[in-house]
Amino acid sequence: MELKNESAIIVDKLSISYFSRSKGIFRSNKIRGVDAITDVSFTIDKGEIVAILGKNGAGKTTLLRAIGGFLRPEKGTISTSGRVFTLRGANPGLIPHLSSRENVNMLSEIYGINPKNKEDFEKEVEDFCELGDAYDREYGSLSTGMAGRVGFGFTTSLKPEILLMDETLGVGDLEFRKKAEKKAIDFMESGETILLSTHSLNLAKSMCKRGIVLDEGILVFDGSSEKAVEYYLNKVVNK
Amino acid sequence: MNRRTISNVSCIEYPSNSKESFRIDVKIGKFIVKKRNLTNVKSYSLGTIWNILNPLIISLIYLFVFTVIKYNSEPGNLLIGIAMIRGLQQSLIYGANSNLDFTAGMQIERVRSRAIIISELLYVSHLSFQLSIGTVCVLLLLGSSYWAILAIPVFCILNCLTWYSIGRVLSPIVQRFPDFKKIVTYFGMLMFFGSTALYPLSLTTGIHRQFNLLNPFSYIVEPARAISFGSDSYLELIPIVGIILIPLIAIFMFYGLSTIDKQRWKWSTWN
Repeated sequence: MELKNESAIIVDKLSISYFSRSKGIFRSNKIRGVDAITDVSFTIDKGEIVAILGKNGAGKTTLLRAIGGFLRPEKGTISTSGRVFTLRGANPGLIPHLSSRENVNMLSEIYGINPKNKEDFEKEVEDFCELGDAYDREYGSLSTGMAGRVGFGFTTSLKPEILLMDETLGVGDLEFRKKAEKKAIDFMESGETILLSTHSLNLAKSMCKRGIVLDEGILVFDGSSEKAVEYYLNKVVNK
Repeated sequence: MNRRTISNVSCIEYPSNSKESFRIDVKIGKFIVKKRNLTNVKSYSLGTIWNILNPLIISLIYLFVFTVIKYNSEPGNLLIGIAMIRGLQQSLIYGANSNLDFTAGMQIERVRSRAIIISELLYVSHLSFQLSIGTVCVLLLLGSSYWAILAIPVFCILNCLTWYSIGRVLSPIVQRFPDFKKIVTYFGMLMFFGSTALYPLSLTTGIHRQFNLLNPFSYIVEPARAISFGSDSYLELIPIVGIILIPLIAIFMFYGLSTIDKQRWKWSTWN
């Protein structure tokens, strides 16, 4: 399917299955394990903020990973326009034996930050983290919450054109979550495209205009976020 | 504007060949190598020095076993063989190993396969260079020619890249039949005793000799010995076989590296 100028993501008849290998001599043929996503199609325009709702195992993470280019579809295609970043978990690949400062310095080059903007970028991440002296300690020695700040601060400061968020706002303590939520809102207001997988229905309603509901790998609803939450509660959770 | 099309066959990015994207891929490749090297020695006080010390000490232990316990009059030539065979074993197994964390934990953005190929070549070259540094120091103490300073690292890198390429060609088989990894390991052990690592080509006879005349390892280790200590065993090599091996290894390398993209895509949904 061809990508129109105003489309950021086009998912067309996407099916994804996970496979596992059987054990034993001469039994190496692939065995179909789980059909995680089945025949899902939708289009997301540039600047849209869309929530993906679904129970555990509904296929939300698989869908985000597929759009991020990490999984091979069994059938169908995905087209994206713009750099796609996935915010998943707390560690974007930071080296535990280097300090947060050294990591951010090195990774900023890898993620294509213009040398002219590098200083501002590094300051933005440092200010967001609010780690004080701990910012210069080995990254591996930081607590989970502190490490999460560095990861989240780094990724959201990259200013991707398409951001895929997978439950990331749950990282860290309450204070950090508020800060992260504010940063996410700032990011969303900057007009980029966001696909947010979440169990937080309030977050989905307040941050997203559109919602997609997945149930057992099938897209069962696509509409406004308020109606998506309603559908999710009535037809998926209480079915 | 980056565009990407993901299908069952591949994940294609446009534009795919800009200078800027190549520059970034080289940086990613270096980052992956740095992360691997740091991870290997993370808990040691001497840190990355162990990357040089470790292969040197193991080679010296082998050297001790094969010179003191079993007398050998040419410890220098033996050390070259041991260093090279250890490079063979490591790079062959590394190349064939299908459970590599190709992207060193970079989860924000899909790492292009080109960056992974760069990191693989850098990592293997780096490993073999580290292997050769200690060896060169000991060889100089043993009275080798100064040309060894140049020749050993170059032949070591050539040797490791050759066997890494052969390992990469075997990698899809290992991926499909994990037990095959054991066979690759056994082959490495067999090569330790069966190749010209522990003795020169001139001492081999019969089928053993025929095998080593076709073995790419002989075409690397014997010239290295000749340059370092003036050994003349290289004269027994068959030039035409050496000439045929060069493009053959290049094909292996090209094919082996080109399968990385296909392999990581294919196995991304396998547990």
